Amino acid sequence: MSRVPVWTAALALAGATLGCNGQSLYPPRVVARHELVLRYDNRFELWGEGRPVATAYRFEGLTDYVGCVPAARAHAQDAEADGRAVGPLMVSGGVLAGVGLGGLGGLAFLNKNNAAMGAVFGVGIGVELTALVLVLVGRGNELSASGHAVDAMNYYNDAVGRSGQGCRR
Amino acid sequence: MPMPPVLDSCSPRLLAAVAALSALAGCSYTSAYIPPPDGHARVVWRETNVAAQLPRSLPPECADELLVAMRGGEVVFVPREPAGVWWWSPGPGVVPGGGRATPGAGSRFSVHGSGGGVHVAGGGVHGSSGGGNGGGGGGGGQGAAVALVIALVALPVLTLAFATSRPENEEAAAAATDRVNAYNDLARVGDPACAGSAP
Repeated sequence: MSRVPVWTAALALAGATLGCNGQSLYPPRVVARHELVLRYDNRFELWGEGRPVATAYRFEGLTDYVGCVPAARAHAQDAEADGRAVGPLMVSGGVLAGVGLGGLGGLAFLNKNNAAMGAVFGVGIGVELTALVLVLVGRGNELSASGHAVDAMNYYNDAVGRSGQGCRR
Repeated sequence: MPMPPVLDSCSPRLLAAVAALSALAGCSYTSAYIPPPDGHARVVWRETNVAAQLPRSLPPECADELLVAMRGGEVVFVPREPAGVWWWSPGPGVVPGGGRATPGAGSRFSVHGSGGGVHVAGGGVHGSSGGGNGGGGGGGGQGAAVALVIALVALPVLTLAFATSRPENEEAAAAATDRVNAYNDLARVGDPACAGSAP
């Protein structure tokens, strides 16, 4: 093999050191046939056999790919389960955040009925806090999904991925 | 204007909610994975993001080569899509699932596509005050109402910001994946300087 990949890799290391980008700059060139590699393109991407196998935050398809390794399979299932919950949590949180703005309707009672104004404000704040909690839980699930996916990749690669065997399909 | 009774009774609850939110913000997954000392670089999960775990010791020649590259002073961008992939096969000493892998000792075969090219690039909100009020109270209640209005407007903005941003540090994640992928390529490519980096 020429030295081009060597210097590409070396310079990519330099780029990674200096880098300030949310995207992977270096595509791996020398990989085992069924090895999973992690890349980042504003989200985590697991690549195998030259194609994306699963992407954050849902990581669909990861369990199928690593299923022959029990530890990897368990983490992949957790990643997919956590990922599935992210969308509904984020969407419901976003919707509730908008609904909570209805609390501003309390201004209609300004200088007329302070108790009613406080009640409407309070309900609005409560709804918005609920929305914020939902979104934060969703972010936690997103992180958890990514962590499980990385673990699944490592257990899989250690067992069969890096040797080039992969799961027989 | 006196403090609205509903708000007065909810204050402890609001504080509890804020405390709960702070706790939620710190939620993360802790990995129990322990990389085997086989000489491969790995991306591992650390609390809220990935981290590059490189083998501890590099041969001096390889370290020198990397050091020279890092002193280059230019940021190099490579094509995002791999123009060519060399399938790497580990050496005969590898025992899958617990054996000792030896990067650099493996063989390569089956070149797909052509080698990729490289190009180098240089690298306020304010509340109103005063005015009449129907309750006949002081400015404290009015201030509380203003604060609540501000909170009602700000909370959705905060929520949407959390919902639409990535939970992990994107730059750190990209840098960690680049480091690991580039290191493994260097170790596997059989370059004299780095081929023996596996312990």
